[in-house]
Amino acid sequence: MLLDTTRFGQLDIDEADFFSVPGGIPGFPGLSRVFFLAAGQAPGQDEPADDHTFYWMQDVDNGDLAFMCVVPWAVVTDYDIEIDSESLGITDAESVRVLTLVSVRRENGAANLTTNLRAPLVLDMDRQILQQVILTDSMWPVRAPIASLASNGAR
Amino acid sequence: MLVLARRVGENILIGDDIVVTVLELGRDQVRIGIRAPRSISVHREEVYQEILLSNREAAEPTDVADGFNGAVVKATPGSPALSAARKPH
Repeated sequence: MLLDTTRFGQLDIDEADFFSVPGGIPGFPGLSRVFFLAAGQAPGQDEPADDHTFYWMQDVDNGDLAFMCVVPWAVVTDYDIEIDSESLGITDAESVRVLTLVSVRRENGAANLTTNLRAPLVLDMDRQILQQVILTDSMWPVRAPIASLASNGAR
Repeated sequence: MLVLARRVGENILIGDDIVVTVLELGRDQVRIGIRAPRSISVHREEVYQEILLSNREAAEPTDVADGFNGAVVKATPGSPALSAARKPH
């Protein structure tokens, strides 16, 4: 399926790679299908595709809408979350992947990258369903700094 | 807005399967218990709003994020490209 995206131009993505997002995510109730692109490589840099820290989550139905995500354990090694797999309909815990959304803010010329550890994206790889889970009783911050990655990755 | 007076231990029913119970009264705080089907998500409003704002922020990556555009690899569910996202044990 050919998709026109603002950030990546035209992409040919297999529909089998889409994840459905039941009910969307807070702020984007219409987000219903996404796919992932592994990111974080500088152009020309050869890095194995299975060792990524950053991903792009692109909306299938809105080419303008893309979110940067990160593997949370790359930011906080002791990140620990409890997911109610039953309520998420997850049958196989092994099929779960977790990413967190990244925000970039420019302040005084410096780029501040933070990631939302309070509301991780939980991916069921079996059923290809994505849900954003708000951790009710967690102390993980909504804006956890990932400054060290900013200095390596953004240039 | 419907306003109801309740005593500690008394319930309010919303629809067929949501039960709100007043558990405890403090000086300026009330503890409330909510029983609802798993399909109903319950959030503290300010937390939900914070997540919503943060999501909107994440949807507007600035030019800084352009540095991450290079050599985009399609990450398919079956391929190893997403395997880095696996939760370590």
